[in-house]
Parts: sequence; structure tokens; C-alpha cells
Amino acid sequence: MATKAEHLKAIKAKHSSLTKNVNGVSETLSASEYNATIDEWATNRAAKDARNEIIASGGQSADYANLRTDSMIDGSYPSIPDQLDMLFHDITDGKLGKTGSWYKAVKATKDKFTKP
Amino acid sequence: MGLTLISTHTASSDATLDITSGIDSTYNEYQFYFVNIHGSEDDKQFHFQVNAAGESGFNETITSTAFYAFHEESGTSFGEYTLGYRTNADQAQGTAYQPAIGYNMGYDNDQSASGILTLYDPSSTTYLKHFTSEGSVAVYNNIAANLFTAGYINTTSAIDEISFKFNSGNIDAGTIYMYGVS
Repeated sequence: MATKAEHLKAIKAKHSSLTKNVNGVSETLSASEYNATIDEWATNRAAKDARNEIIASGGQSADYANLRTDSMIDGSYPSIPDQLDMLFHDITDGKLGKTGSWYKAVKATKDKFTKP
Repeated sequence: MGLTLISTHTASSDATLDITSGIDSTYNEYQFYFVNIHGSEDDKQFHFQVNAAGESGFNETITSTAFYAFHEESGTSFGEYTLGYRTNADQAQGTAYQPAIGYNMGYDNDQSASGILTLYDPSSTTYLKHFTSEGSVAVYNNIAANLFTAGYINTTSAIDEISFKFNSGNIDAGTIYMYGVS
């Protein structure tokens, strides 16, 4: 996982200058615009790295509620239809307690993405 | 309803694409058609902000919503298909750029996003400014996603400029057509 400073260095190495397109005309960014842009890119990349680390390994995150409910994230809650299907089978099997598939699935998500 | 093409803007490795002319009281509705917007980095967001007439900076206050449907090319690692609210693509009185048409976009050579953003009555000095967008996205991990966002720019000042960019990386390619709706 790269730090923001490492991302800044990499972005500067890749882009010695940047352009903006204004009404179809391409212009080189001023020094202040360039610095603001690469700072924003580095900040976003570092935040993304931190988020990906949590997604891969789990752990505490202030964003835990979003991580648990974002269905594009591995380890988030199962979809509502899947949860209902789990409940149907748990009821059928007489497993509405902690041994049921629904409880285990939801607990796995809560255990992976925890509150700070 | 008739569409009048006002201007065409083609990105070519630009950090931002700004349209600072042509948005005025001529039309009550403006539509921006995005064709094959392609970024230089993987898993990034394409978003927009606006500027009120006579002010500086693309930093107006936005309250918005976002949801999407997606379907994987193969496998079932995310449940194969789903419909869901996108909590990190909305804003509550935020001044950040607002995701539109593209989220978690892939940057493979054949991946892009296309869609439409509609801005309603930007020259009104009575009402806040509503917008809606819909985009078809090739998501970085080979998922077809349909992203819907909507909301309002919470100002009664006229809006006359709009800016588009990715949250990281250049807009490598893509064309934006700005139409007036009459």
C-alpha cells in the first residue's frame, strides 16, 4: 500500500505537466493548478489503497456501514433475495439460531468490517 | 422536444474538461451526451461540478442520490447481479465533484462509459438546479453497470459553467456533446 507521498512522487514522475480542455482548447495547467491536481490524485489514490486494504483483509473502518452494504465489495452482506432464501432454508431445517446459514453469513460480514 | 447541438468537446489526455460558454437562458434544459469516456487509471470515478455566474471555482453545494444495477460478465463473486444504492456516490450539501455516468470505471483499452447528464433550468434565479444522469459503465472488474444519479445544486444563482474530470488520472479520450432542449 503506497502512501500519499509515494503516490505524489509517482504521479510527478509520470506527468511532468498536465492539460485542461476548456471549450475545446487544450491548455497547460498553471503551476498551482498542476500541484492542486496531483495532490488531489495522490490523496484519492492513497484513500483508495487504504480502502482496498480493508476490503482485502478486513478490520476497523469508519466506513464500515458502507463496506458492509456495498454489494460490489467482497465480503459485504449477501443480497436481500439470497438472505431471504437462507432464512427459508434455516426455517425449514429448524436452524433459526446461531447455527443457521443466515446468521453465519451476516456475522461474517460484521466480523470482517468492524466498527472503530 | 427538439435537441440543438451547441458544442462538441473531445478529450485527449486532459486532466479536466470544462465548458464555460453556451450555458445560458436560451434553453430551459441542457443535455450532455458522453460517448466512450475513457480514463487513464483503473477503478476511477468520472464526475462533474458547476460554477455559478460571476463566481469562481467549481464548488457549488450539491445534494444528490445514486444507485446502480450491475451484472457480471461471468462468475458470481458479487452475487452475479444486483441493484443497490451507492453510498459513496452521493452528497449531502457537499461541494465535491458529483459522480455521473461512470463509477469504478475500467481503463482497459476496450473499456469506457457512455451516458447522459441533464441539467434543468440552469439560468433560473428562483429555483435550485436539478440534474439527472444515467450511464452505462464497463466496471474495472468486468461488470456491466447502469449508474443513475440525481439531485440538485443548491443555489438560486444562475449556473453557466460545468467541469468534468476523473477523481484521479486524465480523461484519456471521449467526446461530450452539449445540447439545448427546446
